[in-house]
This record gives sequence, structure tokens and C-alpha cells, in this order.
Amino acid sequence: MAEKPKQPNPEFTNAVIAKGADTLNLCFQCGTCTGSCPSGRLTAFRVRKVIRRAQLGFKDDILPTDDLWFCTTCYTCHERCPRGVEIPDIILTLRNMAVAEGHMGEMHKKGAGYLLKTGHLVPLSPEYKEKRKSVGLNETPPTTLSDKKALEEVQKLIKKTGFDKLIGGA
Amino acid sequence: MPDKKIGVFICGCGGNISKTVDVKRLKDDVETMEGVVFMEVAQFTCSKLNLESIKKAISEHKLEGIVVAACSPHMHETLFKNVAQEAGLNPYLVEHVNLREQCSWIHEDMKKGTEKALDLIRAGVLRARELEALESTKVDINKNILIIGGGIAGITSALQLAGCGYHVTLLERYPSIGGHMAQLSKTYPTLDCSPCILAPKMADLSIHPDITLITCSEVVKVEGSPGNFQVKVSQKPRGVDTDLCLCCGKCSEECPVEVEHEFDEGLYIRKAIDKPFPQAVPPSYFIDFDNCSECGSCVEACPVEAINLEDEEKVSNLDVGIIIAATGFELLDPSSLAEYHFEHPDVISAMQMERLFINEAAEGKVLKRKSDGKRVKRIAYLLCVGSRDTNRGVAHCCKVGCTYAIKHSVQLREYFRYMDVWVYYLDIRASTRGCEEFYMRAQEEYKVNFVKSRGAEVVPSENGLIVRAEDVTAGEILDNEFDLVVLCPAILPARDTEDLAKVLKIPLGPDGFIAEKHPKLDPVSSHRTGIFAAGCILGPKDIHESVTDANSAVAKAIEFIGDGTMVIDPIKAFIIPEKCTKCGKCVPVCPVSAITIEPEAILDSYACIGCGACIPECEFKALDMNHYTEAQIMAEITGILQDKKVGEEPIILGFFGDKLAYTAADSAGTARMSYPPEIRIIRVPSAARIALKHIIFAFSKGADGVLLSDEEGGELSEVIEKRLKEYQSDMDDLGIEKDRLQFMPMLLPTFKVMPKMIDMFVKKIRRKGRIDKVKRDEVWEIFSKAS
Repeated sequence: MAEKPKQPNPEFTNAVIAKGADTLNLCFQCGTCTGSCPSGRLTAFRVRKVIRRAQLGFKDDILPTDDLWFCTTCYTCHERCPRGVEIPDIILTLRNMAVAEGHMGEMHKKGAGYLLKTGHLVPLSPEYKEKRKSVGLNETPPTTLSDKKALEEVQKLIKKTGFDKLIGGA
Repeated sequence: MPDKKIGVFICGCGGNISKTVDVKRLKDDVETMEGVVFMEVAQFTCSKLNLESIKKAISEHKLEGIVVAACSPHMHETLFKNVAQEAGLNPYLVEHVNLREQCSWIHEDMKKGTEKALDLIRAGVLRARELEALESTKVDINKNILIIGGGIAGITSALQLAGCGYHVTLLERYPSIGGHMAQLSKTYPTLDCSPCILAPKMADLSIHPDITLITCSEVVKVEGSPGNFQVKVSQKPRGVDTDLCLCCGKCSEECPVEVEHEFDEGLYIRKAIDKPFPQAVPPSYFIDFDNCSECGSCVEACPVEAINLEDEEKVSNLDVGIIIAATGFELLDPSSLAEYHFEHPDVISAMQMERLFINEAAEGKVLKRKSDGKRVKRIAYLLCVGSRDTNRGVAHCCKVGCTYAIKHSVQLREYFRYMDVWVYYLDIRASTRGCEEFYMRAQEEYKVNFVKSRGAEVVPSENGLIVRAEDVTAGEILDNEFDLVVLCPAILPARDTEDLAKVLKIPLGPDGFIAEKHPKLDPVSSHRTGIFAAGCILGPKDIHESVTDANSAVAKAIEFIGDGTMVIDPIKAFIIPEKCTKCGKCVPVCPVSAITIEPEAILDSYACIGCGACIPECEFKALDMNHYTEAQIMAEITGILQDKKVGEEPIILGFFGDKLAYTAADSAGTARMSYPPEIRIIRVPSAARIALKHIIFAFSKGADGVLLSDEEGGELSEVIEKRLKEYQSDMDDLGIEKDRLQFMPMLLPTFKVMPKMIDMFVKKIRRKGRIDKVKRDEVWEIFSKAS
């Protein structure tokens, strides 16, 4: 990503701030967030770098990348940040911007697809069905999973808000 | 209005004034003004010849007041005051009218300039008729000095002042002086032994005939005023007579009670009767009455009967002229950052490490893990624990952490060559002289490892402690395992700083440390005259800076004492006791805490800086101030606005704070800038002196706009801005548009924007047009009835 010299883009930075990331500029790159990040321990995700790129306005290094979607929003970084930077909220802001430009993490897209299809982000697994049965409940809960009319209403809402288009009509 | 004989002296300033102001016309008009019995026009009123002529006029015409209409009072006011005094006229009866910097130099329109000059002189004459003779007073200063706090700053100040022949009382909260410096092993960057350079000073202090040391004590109350304070001191029982104690230690041997030793940061134990530390001053044991079981075995063991278990609190009263506050700092308890696991036996604070250096390393012992006794081979320093942390700590930098961590690393590598030392830092701030070089030595010579990262967490592991952190330069997360982790905590104000500040009536900064009178130009003075501060009570500092502070505080104290008397300028606010209801509204407005209302309402004229901010607060008219009395201000407004109720051109009245805004206006004149002549500026001690009454009066008399100006962000700007809103809303109620009143915050370097701002205001008022005459009469009637 750092092959050529780059021009910082304050316009993008200001757009991020205008969308609610008012604490963005407080970051002084101490690394507390990355060091506290459970995703960082397993992947190449460096949340500090995402924040830095946002400060510099490197839009193309943020919005189309997978990085944004590795954050589990556990808020440990938020809790520990010495500068009070609201890191997960900034990540969410960036995600909204990414989605608006047609970028969305594959797993998130899949989850959103389930929402559209079933009214739930997490599908009901066979194990859960068994568990429900074992404690004397119906196999499926009384939600959109068993109520067709409710599901139709949810789907109507999703379509009305344009969410289905955001996720690529999956 | 008093009927006084006034002389007026108008200066043409060799054309500087007379080129744009028609001096001839002034002469004709001024001569007919009521009260004027003598007048003279000269080319240079400040010339020797003309000064003599002023003197002559004063005595020949028995003048009771003079008006000098010339350059800015900031230029030559003192000169004319001195001349008046030589002629037997009280200098406070001289009124100086600014015809040059704020009139002739900024206006080209001769007609308008002359009209303005005439208004200013008329105002000067009316004001001169109201002026009162004032005398500055001299009071004796008590030359005894109280120093609160016996750390390095207090010790240094005490020794120096006593060395200069002053008597010093040094108060210390703990049983020994020495402060934090006594706890340290070595000092940076020279690595000289801290107790070795401190102990001789402590010893000198203990035998100095002009120093009275009171340990285990604190200040309870301070009364009186600068130069003459009465201080009430409470001394907690010590249980041991310091004069008798031989320090043989027999009492301690017999004492059955063991407690954590605070001097050793809880690493070791002491007895309930013990010596504070080996080099303690006074060299004496003390009883920790919070933990003592009063079994009496120490009393039996003592060979000189120095112990008294019935010892009681003593209260004493001191009379001093000056106070130096030097109570230092304390360290943040790192437990508040749970992810660093301070509760783990192998996670310690840097101050604990200092005690380990003295008690273990320096004695030839190897460092061992407290958890399992294994040898410490790898050690990590985490900097900024609670510092620069607005989330869970304090915003400020501790200033010493980087360099003492470097010092520790060097010490460790010198004691134990096998030690692997890692320092986790946010930025290395080693700006004290010699410290950046020290940092380089630590890297090069001592092979200390530096990681640019704020440690994220400490994770107890099977073999020790993992420090998890992102190395931000490499963008790698490091899991680095250590035997010992040292935390470098934030520096906080000592816990009683706020209480002490209340007792001393001095304000704190937003960080909780004592606020300096001026952060650059008066850095060791508090906001209260006669009270100074030194060392970490003013914020984090290292030893070098604390000593520098102490030197400065000593110089300031001696400067304050001067020849032993204090000249009190008479231009001060005062209370009219029969009108005061002790409501207390004026108290919080005073920037120097000069007003107290209990047991009786007193305005301390020694402390008062004569800003006049308190006066508008009083709804009972129980406050006024010399040289800017209500009558004098009203007279000046009347003079300027005479016959201004009708006519074409709007009139703007400016009330400009003398020190800053008035000076800025002068600077604009000196730079030959220009702004509309419709504005007439009245010099006031501060814009906060101006009350709603003056503003409404100005509108009623013919003003169409009022412009207040004073220092931007100054100590009074908040008061002015708050009042401005109230005044504007009251104007609204009276039917005068709010924006006819404006506050113009000003700074000296930006004086060049002033003409533009005045111009904009005048244009705005011109667009609004003049206030209707009927309205003018009506507002004053309604306002005076209501108040």
C-alpha cells in the first residue's frame, strides 16, 4: 500500500469527522488499541493503522479493504484509549461509508443475506433445534422463523429502507 | 458637582495634534467651560518651560485640579503628576486627556477630530472636578517567612532565606523533612546519589539558628493580609521528644506492632515506633498513633524518657509576612488501570524500584521475583501509566518518567550485566540538559531496548509476565515475557493541595496544581500577593527545576520584603460598610480573592489589584473604587455626551481596560491607522468595572453604541462576557437593541485588527440609526426607578 508518495486528503478526513468521528484527531498513535485487540492477535488487522489512515484521509486504503471488517466491536480499545478516541464508533462510521460505496465484508454480507432471507442474522443451527426440543420448546422460535407474515413485514422494511440494495441484493 | 478651580493645558505637540485638531477652536470653547479658571495652549506642554508654567499656574490661580490634553497618559501622565506634586497639588487631581494617539493620529477630518477633542476635554474637566486627592500608604512588612513543605523546594528556599538573614518557619506534614527526593536512589542524568546530596542540606537546616522546623504539622487557617499573615498551625502528636531522642533504636526493638513502611513504598515493614528513615531530620523516632497498641514497652525501653504515649495535638499561631507553598506531588495508584495487574507481586511502581535499588541492589543483593524468589533477568518499564490519559488518568505529562526510566535502565545494567531491560514509551521526552545524551548512552553503551508503544496490557503467564504491546513503528504486536514489570505512574498534586489552596485563598489550575500568577512572567507567584510557590505544587518538575523554582521564590520573597515596607497604591476598590449586606456576590468575581465577608466584610486593599470587577456585582451600591468612583465615571460620560441627544452622526462610547485595550488603541494610533471619529474612548481600570448603569446612562445621554474592550482570555474576560449577556437582555427589556452593546476582546499583538473592528461596529450602529430622544429619556427613568 505504500509504494508511492501519497497526498493526504483532508476532505475525506473531514467527511469521516462530520459523520460522527469527532474524536478522530485526538489519536496520538500509542498502539494501546492494537495491543488490546483480540482480532489483531489472529490477523493482520492493525486498528491503529486504520485510525491513522483515516486521519490522513487515505480513503482507498480503508474503504475497499477487508481490515474494517475484522473489528469485533469488543470495545476494549475504546475502554483503554488514553486519548478517549471512540475507536469502534469510528470503525462503524467507516463501515457505513464503505457500504455506501459498495464495499462490504464477505462475512457481513452473508449475515445480511440471512437477515433478508430469514429475519435473523444468525441462522438457527440443528444443535439449537435439538436443544429447544430437549427443554420442551418448539423446534423453531416464535419469530420470523415460524411466522411468515412477520417475515414478510421484515423483508418489506428491508426493501423500503434500501438495505437489500446496499448488500448487493443478496 | 463640586465647584473646583480647574486649569486646562492643551498641547499641539509640534503639529502632531494641531495639524488635525483645531486648537484655536478648542481654546475658545474650553475657556467657557464651567469651572475652568485658567487655560493655556502650547506647542510642547511637556517642555521644561511649559512645565514651569503649569507649576506657576497652579500656585497663582490656586488650581484645585488640572487637565492636560496632550499625548496618551501612558506617555507622560507620570511627568505631569510629578509636576503637580512639586507645585503642591495632589497628583491624583491631574486628569490626562488623550488627544494624540486616540484622536489626532487616527482622524483626518479636522472638523470631526476637533469635535471629538472637545468632547474628550469636556469629559476631562468634569472628571477633574470630581477627582479626589489620594495618598499612597506605607505599611510595615513582617519579615518572617513561612514555608509549607519540607521537600527539596522547601529545604532550598528555607536555607537560602535564612542565609539572607530572614527567619523561616518550615512546616512538614511527615515526621521528617526530605520529601520524595529522600526516597530516590540516584538522580539523572549525572547518577549522583540522591540522599548523599540531600542529607547535608537537611542537616544544615536542622542546626540553622534562623530556621524553626515544625514536623507532623499542617496549616489550618490563614488570616490577615500580604505582609502580615496570621497562620494557625496544627501539630499532630509525635509521641517522642525530638530533643531527647538518642536514636538508639531500643524502643523499636521492643515494639510488637509491625506495619508497612510508607517510606519504602510498602516493600518492607517498620514498627509502630520507628525512625522515618536513616537520614531523617529531625533525627528522632516517632510514634505512628494510628497503629500503636499503646502497650508501653517502648516507654520502658527508652533510656532517656523521651517517649510520651499521652502526647497531644498542639496548635500554634505564627505571624509571618510571606508564605511559600511547596507541598509537592504524589503518584497515581496504578491499580486504577486494571490491565497492568499492579496487584501482582512482580508488578511494581518506579518508586518501589528506587527503594529496591537502595535496599537491595546497592547492598550487593540480586533482584529476585517476589512471587517465587527466582532471579530477575528480564525487566520491562511501562511509561505513561495514567499520564497523558484523559480517559482514566490525567491529561498532563509527568515530565520525569522518560528520563528516570532511562536512569533505572542504566542503573540496572550497571548492577546486573545480565539484565535485559526494555522500555515501552510513547515519546521519549528527555529535554532537560544532558538527558538526550543520557538516552543515547542508554541505547549505545548500556544496550537498553526501547519500544515505541504504550504497553497495552500485562498478562500473567506460566513463566512470568507477558507485556503485550504494539510496536507502532513496525506495526507488530509483541508478546514479550518478563520477570518484573515496573510501572511509571502519573504525577498528581499532593492530596491536600486543594484544601491548602482554600486556606491560602489561591486558585488552582485545571490540572489541580496551584495556578501561577503568570505562567511565563511570574511563574512562582500565586494569584495572591505575598504567597509564592515552588516545586511540584506548580506541576510536575524534576529536582533541577524544583530547585530553580525555590531560588526564584526566594528572590520574589526578598523582592516583596524590599526595605521592609510596602507602598499601597490608593487606586483600589473599597466597601461602604453601612450599605453592605454581606450577600457575598462580589467574592467569586475577584481574581485575587481580596474580598472576605465572614466574620465581617473586608476588602483587602493590599491584595486588591484595582480592576473594579467587584463593583457591578453589588446591587446595594456598597462597593466603589478610588480614582474610578461612580461619580467620576458618570461625570466623564456626561462630559462626552453633552448635547449629543440629537443630530445626524451617531456617537459610540468605548470603555477600554487601561492595561490592555487602551494600550492597544494607543498602538493603533502610533501606527497611524485610522477608524471613525464617532468613537470616544473612556479609560477604565478594566472593562469589568462597567455596570449596566453606566451603559444605560450612556444611551440616555446620547450614545448610540457602547463598546467594551479588554484582554482576550484574560482573568476577567469570562466575567465580562457573562455580564454582557445579562446586560444585553436587560437592554432588550428596556427596548434598546442588544447589539448596540458589544464586547471586543483584544490582545496587544493583534492591535491592528482594532481599527477594523471599531469601524465595523460604527458602521453597524450607523445602519441602525440614532436612538430616539424620547426613548433616551424614558430608559433612564425606567432604569433609575427600578434600581
